[in-house]
Amino acid sequence: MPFWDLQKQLGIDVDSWLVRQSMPQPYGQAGVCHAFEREWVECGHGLGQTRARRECQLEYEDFMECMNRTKLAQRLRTILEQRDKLIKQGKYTPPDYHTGKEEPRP
Amino acid sequence: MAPPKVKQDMAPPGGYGPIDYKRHLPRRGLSGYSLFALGIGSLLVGYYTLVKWNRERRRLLIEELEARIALMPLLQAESDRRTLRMLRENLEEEAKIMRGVPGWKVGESRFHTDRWVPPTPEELYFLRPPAELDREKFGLQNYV
Repeated sequence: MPFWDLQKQLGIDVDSWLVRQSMPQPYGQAGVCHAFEREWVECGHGLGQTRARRECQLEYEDFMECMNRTKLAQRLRTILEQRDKLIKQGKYTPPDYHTGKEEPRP
Repeated sequence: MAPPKVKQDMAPPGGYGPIDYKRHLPRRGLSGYSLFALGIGSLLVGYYTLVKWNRERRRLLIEELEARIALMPLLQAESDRRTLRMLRENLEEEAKIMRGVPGWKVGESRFHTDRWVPPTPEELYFLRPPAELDREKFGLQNYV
């Protein structure tokens, strides 16, 4: 029910932890993008979703990057393609610790 | 006229002896009530043993958790050192690989913030053979 706030009245937490990542989670385990989401929410507090997406663009981008890791995937792909190109040209050999021949260490 | 006297196969004189036709169920074993008592008694003994052992298991589990808590700084420090070493190696390799590529900033952060963002396993192991990444992710898993 919209205005009754049942979960706070009864003192239970049925699905409040599902609403946002930054809500108190079971076992106290923080989400991975907890900090980014919290920053975006604090920046866009009271603005509404559309305005928050537009005006807090930096925080929103960081949050989306943390969730989807698109920029990371793109970056790694570029580096790997460049590495394969260089290996084919013979200009680069990966060092020992990148070919699995590293001796085991803690 | 009288029936002819023929030799017939008759019963012995005086008839046959008594024939045993009634059923002989042996009256042995415990009674019904005592069987119930035996069953329920064994159940109760089992429950009692289970409860005692579960409490003992809980004590052992608490001991293992406390051992983990005690070792946590050491393990966390080792893991952090390993992460930093891999990030450093990746940075150097990235500098070597992307030397000729125009417009590439080595070690550029994807985020607009200065905060330390813990690296993902993919990010740490991307230059190594995929077997190492699989071992990192699933090496300790027994569930299929």
